[in-house]
Amino acid sequence: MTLLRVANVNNGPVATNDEFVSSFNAAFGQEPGASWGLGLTTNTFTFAHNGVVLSPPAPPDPCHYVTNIQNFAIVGDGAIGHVYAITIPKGATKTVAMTYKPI
Amino acid sequence: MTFARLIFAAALLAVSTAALAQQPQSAADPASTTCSFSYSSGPLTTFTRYCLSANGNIVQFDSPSGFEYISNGGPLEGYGICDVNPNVAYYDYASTDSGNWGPTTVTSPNATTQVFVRTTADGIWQLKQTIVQIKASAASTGSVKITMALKNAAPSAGT
Repeated sequence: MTLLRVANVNNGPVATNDEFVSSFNAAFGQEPGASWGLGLTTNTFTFAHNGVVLSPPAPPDPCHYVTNIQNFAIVGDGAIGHVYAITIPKGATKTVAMTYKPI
Repeated sequence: MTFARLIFAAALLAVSTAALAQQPQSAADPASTTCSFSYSSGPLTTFTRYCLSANGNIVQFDSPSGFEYISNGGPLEGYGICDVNPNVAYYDYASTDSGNWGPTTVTSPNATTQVFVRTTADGIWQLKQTIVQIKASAASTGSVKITMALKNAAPSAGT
């Protein structure tokens, strides 16, 4: 299974000038000038996972989310997210946790 | 193809169409950007406010007050899963969804927590979201902790 959480982050009145970056454990989107923004950080490390930035921030198909992934820091219109790759046997439950926090 | 085979194929198509027409329709909750559960905390400098839809999306988030992150231009926040084999996607991003989720059951175990339980329309996956407010203090902004528990309820193993 692929499990995805995503948020289109638009800081301020201009949606196309925000700064985005991601790492294994987090993704951030902020208003230019490091003034303010939103981050999404994983609290679960037991599955393969990755923070992602998607641009353009079109609603991602969880089966094809890689289409809009940006592998480098970008300036533009984007979304932050986190992706987990999890094997869930019949009858089993797997749990992940993450936190949105202003930056 | 012989005439008899053509007749058989036509009959099979008719039966299949009738069977599809008789399948029960999902009572899925449509995607929603409506603010249903609102939370705020903190003094002016660390003030943190957010709002949840009835389907477990964050449709508004500002901190400090007026510094909005999600609802500008229409909210797009939420969750998606992909059943890799057979490559079926299920998602709900508030402003749009995949149309293959069942209705959402919401409970409020305490003043800072909302629990959203939802099963895919095909009955294979159940997602339980527990969304908890971490309150702001004078020294720190608040945050939102989301726990997503995904259950495989399929009659055969998924991946």
